[in-house]
Amino acid sequence: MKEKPKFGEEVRDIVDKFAEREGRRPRIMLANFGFTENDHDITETVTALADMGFDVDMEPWGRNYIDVAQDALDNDVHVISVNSLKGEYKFLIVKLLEELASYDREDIIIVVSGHVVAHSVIKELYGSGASAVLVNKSYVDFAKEILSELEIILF
Amino acid sequence: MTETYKPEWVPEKDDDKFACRVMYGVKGGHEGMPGSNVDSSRKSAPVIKRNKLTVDDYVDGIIKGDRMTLSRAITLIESNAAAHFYIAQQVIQRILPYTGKATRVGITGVPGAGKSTFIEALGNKLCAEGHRVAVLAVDPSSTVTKGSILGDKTRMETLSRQKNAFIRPSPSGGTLGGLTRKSRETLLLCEAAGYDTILVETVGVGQSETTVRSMVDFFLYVVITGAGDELQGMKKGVMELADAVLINKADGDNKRKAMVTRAEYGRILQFLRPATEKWETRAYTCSSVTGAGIPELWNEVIMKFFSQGKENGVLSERRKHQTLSWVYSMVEEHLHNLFYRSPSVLACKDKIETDVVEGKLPPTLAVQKLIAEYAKTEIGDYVKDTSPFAIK
Repeated sequence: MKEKPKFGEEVRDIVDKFAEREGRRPRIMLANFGFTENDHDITETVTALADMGFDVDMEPWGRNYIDVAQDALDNDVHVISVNSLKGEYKFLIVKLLEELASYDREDIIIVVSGHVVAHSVIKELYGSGASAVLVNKSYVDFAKEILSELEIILF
Repeated sequence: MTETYKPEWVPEKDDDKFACRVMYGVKGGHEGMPGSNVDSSRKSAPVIKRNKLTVDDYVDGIIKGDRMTLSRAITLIESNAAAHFYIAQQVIQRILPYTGKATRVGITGVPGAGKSTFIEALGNKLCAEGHRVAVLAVDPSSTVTKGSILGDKTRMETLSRQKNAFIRPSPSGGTLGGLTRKSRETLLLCEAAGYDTILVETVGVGQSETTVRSMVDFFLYVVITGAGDELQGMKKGVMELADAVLINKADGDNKRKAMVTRAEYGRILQFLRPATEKWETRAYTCSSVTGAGIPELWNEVIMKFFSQGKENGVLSERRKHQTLSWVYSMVEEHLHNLFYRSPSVLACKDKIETDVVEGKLPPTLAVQKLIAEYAKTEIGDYVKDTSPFAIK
């Protein structure tokens, strides 16, 4: 028997079940809006999510929300994950949702995977339309939150 | 006044003799402190269900060239769910008359050879000339965790912004052998949507390059300098399949080395049988960064290949063969599904697996047993339920 690595084992089971019903694995696009190349935490997030069985799309850094929404539609992702060192998350979430709504694709959910988020604004981020926020959580919990949200939206 | 309490070490009977009091600490959720006082369980994100498209929606959208419908149709094609397969095949059937007009080019190479950067340079050039370019990039899925990292768009920054370009990265994973059907049908969808040049990119590891070869007209092998000597290229494999070998990164200090490598590959290619009849496979150099060599490669090599191929009928012959191989790869996929979904195989699979692992049963015998079980399956009933190929 092939031995599975330990990390994210519980999530992988949920992901496998998801993949069976949806016909493909949950697909998440990591968009880095910051104009810095300081994206080491994006690398970490990418690997963590891929290890839990997600299909992870990477975007070039420093794009605007119109491009990101277009790419998300082209790749037909389930989730857009927003990351920016500038911290303009509320603006990005609202704009992305508007952009997606103009294509009638509001079923694509938006999550925040940036590490630099003040705890006091987490509630506001949820309020402005984010479905999950990574800050203060382990990657496993973050993935679970995304999957439970997808569960509601897709099935 | 902040609330305080007496420390637990104060004796109960004479607590009036101790003036010491302790202040409560800051609760979790303060910036930089662990824990959170934010109730993250509530969500105000609106629940909006995904709208379902019918076969007509898909077909109309694709023929009109609507990107969003195209991307959702590709998702449908790539889906492993049996229910999706049936709709997908109907879509394919209806768009087939609109396909076959595009220039299909496959691009492969070792990781890091600069395939994506080359496509970025080539794609921008083609878009500037008014072509509509579709790029299908296949990235490998992990065999352990089944996840994948699709990073091709990070290399195609300007191309992905072009209105005339459609880039779709896809994970290779999932079904064995399924890649053939999926990529080929995706390619057909892009053709029907009006893209006149289709570039299929794949990492040259193992099976995928043979798969891609069986669906494109022109096959380009991208290499870099300093990757082994002449003998490496002589080994049977991808070199035999290529219609052109491209030495990338021929710029700056590397230019001289690239010329040497080109000469080396040229020597090897003399001894190899060309992949296409009446066509001589040669080595070329280019630089994706400066753009040198790319217009020449496209106009003088690839375009010449297509005009020559159309004249002497090699291309149409190749496409006929490819359609046939498409049929048989689908048969293989179907057999694969039939075997693994067969109820009688599923019933005894676990026992045979444990026997093999414990060494009670040699693998060859296990195969015989499994096949014998499969032969017992009554095809009739379960094919209707599980097989996407069954007529409903």
